[in-house]
Amino acid sequence: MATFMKKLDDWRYIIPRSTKPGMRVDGLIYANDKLISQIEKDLTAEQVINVATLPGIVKYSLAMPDAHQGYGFAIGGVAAMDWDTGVVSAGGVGFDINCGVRLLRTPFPVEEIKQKLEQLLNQLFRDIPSGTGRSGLLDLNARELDRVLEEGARWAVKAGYGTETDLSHIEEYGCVPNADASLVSAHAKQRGKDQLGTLGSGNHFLEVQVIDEVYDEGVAQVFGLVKGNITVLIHTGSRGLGHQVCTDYLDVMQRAMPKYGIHVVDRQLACVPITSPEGKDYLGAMAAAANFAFANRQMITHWTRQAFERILGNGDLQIVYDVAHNIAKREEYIVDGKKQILLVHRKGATRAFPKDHPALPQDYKSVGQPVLIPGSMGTCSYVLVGTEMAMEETFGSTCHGAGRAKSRHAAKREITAEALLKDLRGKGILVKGASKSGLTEEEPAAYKDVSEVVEVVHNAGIARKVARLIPIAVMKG
Amino acid sequence: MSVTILEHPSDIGIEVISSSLKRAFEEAVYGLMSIIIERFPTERGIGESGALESIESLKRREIWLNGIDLENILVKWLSEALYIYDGEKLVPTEAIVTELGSYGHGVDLRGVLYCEQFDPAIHRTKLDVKAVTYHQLLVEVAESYTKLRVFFDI
Repeated sequence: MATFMKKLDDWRYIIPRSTKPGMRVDGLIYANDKLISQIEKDLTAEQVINVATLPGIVKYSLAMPDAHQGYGFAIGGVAAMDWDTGVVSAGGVGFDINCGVRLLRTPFPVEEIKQKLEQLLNQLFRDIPSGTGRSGLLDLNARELDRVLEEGARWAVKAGYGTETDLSHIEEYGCVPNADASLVSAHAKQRGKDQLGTLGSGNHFLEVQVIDEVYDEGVAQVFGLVKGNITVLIHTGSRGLGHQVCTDYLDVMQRAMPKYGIHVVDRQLACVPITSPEGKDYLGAMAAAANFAFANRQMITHWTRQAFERILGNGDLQIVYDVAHNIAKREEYIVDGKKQILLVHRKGATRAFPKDHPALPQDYKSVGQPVLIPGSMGTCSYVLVGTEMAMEETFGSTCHGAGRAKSRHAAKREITAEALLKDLRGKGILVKGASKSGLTEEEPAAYKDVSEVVEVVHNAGIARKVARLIPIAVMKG
Repeated sequence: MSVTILEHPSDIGIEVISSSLKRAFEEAVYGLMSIIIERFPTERGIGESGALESIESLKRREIWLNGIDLENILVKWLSEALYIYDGEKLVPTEAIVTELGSYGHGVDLRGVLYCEQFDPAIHRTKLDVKAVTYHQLLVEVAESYTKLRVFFDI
């Protein structure tokens, strides 16, 4: 363990603010001994320290157990800034704005679909555009795209992709407020206009899963999760549109920083005051990109339902929840005994609100927010539930997945697509990928152990285990 | 003159060593596009050796940029190439930097990207690059060479 890091308990490591000049708060990393040794192999700790120097940061610069080196912020990083005195950083959200996951539950026990699984996977692959450079089935005109940006999943529902009841089970009800399409550049709109309703490539996927373990029967029942039943997990984001919004505003922020007397130790941390014109503009554009991602997952949900209807005769798939992994949100917390409005940057982290939180839909108020943690291809995923402890320690945040452990090139070198497919088939998992290289880049061993990550957040109390999901069919971009 | 591919757990990058700054910026576009696109030889003879059949078939994109400094202008230049690919479905095959330097406020770049229309018959997208990052970005200008290092988010 690095000398500057102190072990607080079995699940927490602290980096005191005295570690480096300029740190305004301590760094706090959630990890066990094994994960901390993995985290120390790259620049994660240094990035946690750098984020701790940003103006207006409150309490801690946080890293979740799946944290790994990013650009500016670590992926798996959380930083909350005081709304009036703090900064917003485009790099603190990242390029894939509202990259997130959505979980659908189905009425089918696994036995009922086994015979038709391959047919179902083929149908999903036909109906949902995926892979590098794939365009969507729509090419939106300018007015319609603006509506997507300002209305999010609501636009998709109005356009016939789903029902009103879907919206209550999406973070922000599928529409981040104050989104302003006029703040999204022509470049960003051009990149996004034919990518709505596409899965994309890289770590994005759609997975058919079985609920193989239930840890909390009561909460699972509220979420509609029944052991042995099938679920579908959709992992994608705002595609090229979101990437361009981040690129555009990183530049805006860099140019504006001298005006506000802000200096950052890493240019990727470029930031401006939240309440500055540039800060407000970024948040309006970011909200628009986040809405694009919610609409994207809504359309993919619609086509998933159609594929189930066509192959299995029943497309009644209900949304358990939809969470953003890369976003900045205005939220209220009690800090040192006082109410404070904060901007919480979650970059590779999941909101994890506890029961009775006003942001939750009525039917989840009694238990808390579903937290969806996708594993890597071929490994399990988890459903957790938000906790009070997350509100106290991590600004209502927890981990977001397994976290990358190897570069994509290293992963490719170590296994061929054929060997990987054989291995997965041996585990009873069907895989359909747009490209062989895309498959090997995302091989399970390229990631940390998601179960280990989940154990840390569960034991630290910043989310609680509800159910485990095992993949039986995976569609990769 | 060389372009080397660099690895990073969540990114991929390039290191370019070239005889001049302008040339290095041009090479960086080829480096970025080599990560994204694989080009196949065709019956028409296009792409056999990377050489193009006729310049008339290419689309020309004029690029005028102003940046804070060389690092900033490098990110913006490559971001433009990426946008032209992802937004306009054009594949930059030739990059020419005509002006690069400080002519007033900050740094200015004027250049041209000659592009082919993306065609699945001759182009295969190997990797979707999301963006050009400032992570460990390097522009090193020496008397006899220029070295650039850029990481891309993928």
